[in-house]
Amino acid sequence: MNLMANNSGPDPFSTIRRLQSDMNQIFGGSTQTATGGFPAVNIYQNEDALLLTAELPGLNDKDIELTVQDDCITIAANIPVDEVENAIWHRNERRRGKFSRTVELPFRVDSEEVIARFKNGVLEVEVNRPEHEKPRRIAINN
Amino acid sequence: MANQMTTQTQKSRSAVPYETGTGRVFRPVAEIYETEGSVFVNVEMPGIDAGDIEITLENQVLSLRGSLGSKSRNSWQPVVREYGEGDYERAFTLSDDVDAEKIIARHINGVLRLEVPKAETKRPRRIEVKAA
Repeated sequence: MNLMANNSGPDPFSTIRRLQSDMNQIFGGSTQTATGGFPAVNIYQNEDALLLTAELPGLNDKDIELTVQDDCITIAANIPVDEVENAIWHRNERRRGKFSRTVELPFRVDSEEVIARFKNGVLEVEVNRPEHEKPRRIAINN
Repeated sequence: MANQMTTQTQKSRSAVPYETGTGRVFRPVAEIYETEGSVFVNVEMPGIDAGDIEITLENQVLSLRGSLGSKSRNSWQPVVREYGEGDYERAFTLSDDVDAEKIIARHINGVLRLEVPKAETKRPRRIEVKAA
């Protein structure tokens, strides 16, 4: 855990995030809550919801274990190797084996408010914001 | 067969993709294995519809291309971007002893799976030794 080195780049919170990530690894086993890890995720937002996407080619929707606890979403699965008898392998670049990744969201997640889709190897998890978390426009009184 | 199948490009999926007029192009990760009768080429193209995949075979070069099209998430504002999205492109040189006409291609859960049957004449044959 080196806080001074590797702290390049314009992001002023990178040290805090890395520290948080290190702490999570120490106290939470192999799962990660900060940036980095597999699968890579993209997160989008609009006024009503957050959308988390991840590329998981080769898996079935039933293979993916999606769990929600407090403000965390965990994606876990096992990517199996193609079982082919007497095969000679020439190239093997695809990722295999078990993985688990936890992503922390800026609000508590209600499992009733989560919609998950899986199409063409891309997982999409849409999480509705709780009513009190939605951005509100404040009227200015004259 | 083993050494006759080589990749043409060597960029990795995680490397900075190159830009074209239409957007970013990634080199998809692949696995290749062969059995007695066929060569199997599996290429990861997550997010691409089966109809947007183009497979061509010319002069023993098998070219695979997946086009993302206009699947942008316009109504969403990006917050965290750990991976990029774009088209996929990769080419493999096949040995000439394949049945090009009989290539079977399927796109399952974001993985393009090609089965390339070897030509009948080039399949290894087991010669039985009979006792005299």
